[in-house]
Amino acid sequence: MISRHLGWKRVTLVLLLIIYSLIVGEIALRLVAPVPLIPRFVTGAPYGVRMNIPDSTYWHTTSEAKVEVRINGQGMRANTDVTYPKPDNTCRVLLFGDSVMMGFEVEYDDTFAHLLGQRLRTAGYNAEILNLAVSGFGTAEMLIAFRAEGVKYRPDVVVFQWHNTDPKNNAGARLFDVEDGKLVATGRTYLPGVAIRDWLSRFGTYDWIVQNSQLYTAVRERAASWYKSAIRTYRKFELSRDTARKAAPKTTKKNVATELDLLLLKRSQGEAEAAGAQFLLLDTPGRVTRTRFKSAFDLLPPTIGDEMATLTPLDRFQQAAGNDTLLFREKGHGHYTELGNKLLTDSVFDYLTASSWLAGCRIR
Amino acid sequence: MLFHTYTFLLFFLIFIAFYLATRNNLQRQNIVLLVASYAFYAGWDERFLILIAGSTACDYIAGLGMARLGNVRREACKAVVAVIALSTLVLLPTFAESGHFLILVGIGSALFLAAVFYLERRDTEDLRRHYLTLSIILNLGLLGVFKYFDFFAASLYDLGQSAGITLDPFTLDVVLPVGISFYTFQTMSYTIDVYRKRIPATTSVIQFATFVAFFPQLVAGPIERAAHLLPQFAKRREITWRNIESGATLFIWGLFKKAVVADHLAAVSDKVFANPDAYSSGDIIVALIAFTFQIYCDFSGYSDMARGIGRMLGFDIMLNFNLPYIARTPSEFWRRWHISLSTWLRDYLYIALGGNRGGAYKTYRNLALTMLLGGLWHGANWTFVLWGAYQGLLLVIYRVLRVDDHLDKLSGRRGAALACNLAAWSIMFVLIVFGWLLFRATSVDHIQQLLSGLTTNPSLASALWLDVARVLLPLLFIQALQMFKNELEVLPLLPIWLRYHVGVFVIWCVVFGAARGTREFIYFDF
Repeated sequence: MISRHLGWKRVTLVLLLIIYSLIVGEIALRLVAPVPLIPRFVTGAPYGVRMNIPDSTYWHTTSEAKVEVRINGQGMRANTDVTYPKPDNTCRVLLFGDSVMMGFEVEYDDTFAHLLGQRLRTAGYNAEILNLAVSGFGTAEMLIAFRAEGVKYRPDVVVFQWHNTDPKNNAGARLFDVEDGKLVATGRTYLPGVAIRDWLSRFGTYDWIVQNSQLYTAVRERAASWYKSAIRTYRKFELSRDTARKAAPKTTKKNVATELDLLLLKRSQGEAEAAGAQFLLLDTPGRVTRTRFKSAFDLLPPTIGDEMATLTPLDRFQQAAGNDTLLFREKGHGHYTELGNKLLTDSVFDYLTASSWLAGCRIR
Repeated sequence: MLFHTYTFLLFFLIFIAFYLATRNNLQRQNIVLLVASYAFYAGWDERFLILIAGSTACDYIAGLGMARLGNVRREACKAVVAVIALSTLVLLPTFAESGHFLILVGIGSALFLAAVFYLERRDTEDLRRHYLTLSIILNLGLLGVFKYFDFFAASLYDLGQSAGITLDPFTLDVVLPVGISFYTFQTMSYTIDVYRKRIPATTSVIQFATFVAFFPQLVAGPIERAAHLLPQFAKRREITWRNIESGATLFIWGLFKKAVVADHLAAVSDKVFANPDAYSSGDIIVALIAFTFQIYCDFSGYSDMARGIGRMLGFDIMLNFNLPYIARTPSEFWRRWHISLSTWLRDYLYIALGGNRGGAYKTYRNLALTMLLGGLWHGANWTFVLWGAYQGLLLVIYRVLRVDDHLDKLSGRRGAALACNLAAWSIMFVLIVFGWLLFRATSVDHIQQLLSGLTTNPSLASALWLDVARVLLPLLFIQALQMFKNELEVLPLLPIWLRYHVGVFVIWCVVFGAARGTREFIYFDF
């Protein structure tokens, strides 16, 4: 009896010590190396890739900004819902991209999508900007999301973001491959970490933990990094064993666009045009230093501009840059600041208004 | 291969298996250590092995020659064959590009053999001095060629240009071998001590080679003395749980200083030093403070990791840093900072120059010269020479003013002692921080840029203070504990609740709080 009592006492003490150690760890990280809390609330869409959890609201917290992220019933970052039927005399601009396009680390009113809509309406265009961006997306996922969901909105303009993470994401998704110079579908789903996330969300405190615990975020990011590293190593091993693929390696050590990426872009363009929309490939430059930036288009062949409509805000970024001017968050995950989003908006606004793409919805 | 990488962890796990398996055979265990140390060094560039093997061979033979042990000619031939064999092995994979180095190795080996054979025909008294000279020429020659040739050539060219003389710029464009400043000084300490008859020469080439290449302290010190480290290769090492625990604690503490404190501070100091014109006076001051603690934590962190690994293997590696920033005077600072280098310079340079024998003027000259060369040891740049000259000047001024003596006299008067010590410490800390400005600058123009930035609208206001304070405060708290307990390995002396909090805090920081990206150690560049 006494020994059982002592046994329980020991177990309780150990458990309390573990919990206390976790608290000490949380304090240690907040003091020494604060971790940005930028959770991604995604789930599996019926069409096999990720989508933002509909009707969800969560917070991003870094030492630079605390931002509310609200997702509407259709999985878009928006304050209101959207219906499939397009109102009369309205132009729809669909945006596909990743967390940069979603406007992570800025309030909704400062996102590129919201600012673009506001500016177009102010300029006399009856335009709706539908932000179908999902954090972590690559071109392959954007294409599938466009096919399954985007076309239903009958867009007039489809904007695909091109980011320096796209070649890696496209290769890693394994949704498409290249055979005899043609794009073929090879996978029906790509839902990394979604099953785990969905399971953990069943516990009420999980959502609170991902938004508030820096220790949990650090552990999760480290585990994800190890997992991705292990997958990459395994795939390199697979590639080296597969003699058929040896002749035409799909990925190289250097991060450049491959045949897969180019075919995905062309297919996306083709399907957008087949749906009656104009297609625009939008560069989202990366940061080298506070005053130097790098275009993601550097990863693409220089002839890409001949094959499809492309746009880069790089010049605007360089002109606006200064030692005291922040275009990128420095303490978070490096997303655009309010100014960065504004410059992106200015670029796209000028492009769209100079083109005739939105002529049908000009009201004044 | 950095200590805080998975590659090193893998290397260490493989190595420790062989090390433990050979614990009952000293010779085999030393061979395992030697092979592991060479593999560790080859991780940077396998061609570096030729230089360390050459330096090892030369000083081993020089030791035998000075002590008149065995058949020196035969040992020299064996050493040369070993070096050529190793050179061939390391150059084979890249023979097309690097094969010509074998010719240089051949020429060097032939010259060395010729020198040994020549010396063996001379009389005993001169012989010891000649072997020492051979060792010094080879080791300083290696440093001169690989570290200083391009610097002096470029400086000569610039001097010529400023005098209106156009010289042909000629540089070797050679890579600086990692750790060359450390192991050459380490081997020279052996030959000098054998010459002075302070230690006997070793007849075990394996023990000596392992002493030179011992991987925990090979690339960034401490610069061990043969009298301290070499005998440890001649006796069985005790691998105990106590040593493993205290060694691991020391390693984790070093890792905290390097990966958490130093690397986070580097993010602040690097961006300001890269473009000082874009920052305010307050920002530059913060960056200087950041660099002051960055270089301390980077270097002492590495030393602690090296000592921790050595202790886990059963070795005692010398202390290299003893809370240097609590120093009140320059001489105290140099008794606490990079102790292995400062004692080396004292024993082999300052004393050789005459030390403090010969009157005040000669003492000051010897101090200044020693620190000047100590500055140059750090790197091939005039800023290091300037820093060394500055340190020498401080030592001379404090000696002229007899500050150490005055502070010692106050030890019996508590109130006055506290006030004077605080004042002395404050002044010394500012002088140290200013010294690091000279050290960190990349050129004389950069120094001017930084000084101009400091003096334009001087202010302490800066948004960067928080970034620096968040990593400095935990460090200073733990260092305060070390100071008040007068023990660097303070954890066992703390009450259990404090030991738990410090330990858990440091471990969490090390595991998840390390700066992103792996930065090399600053002293690898020396």
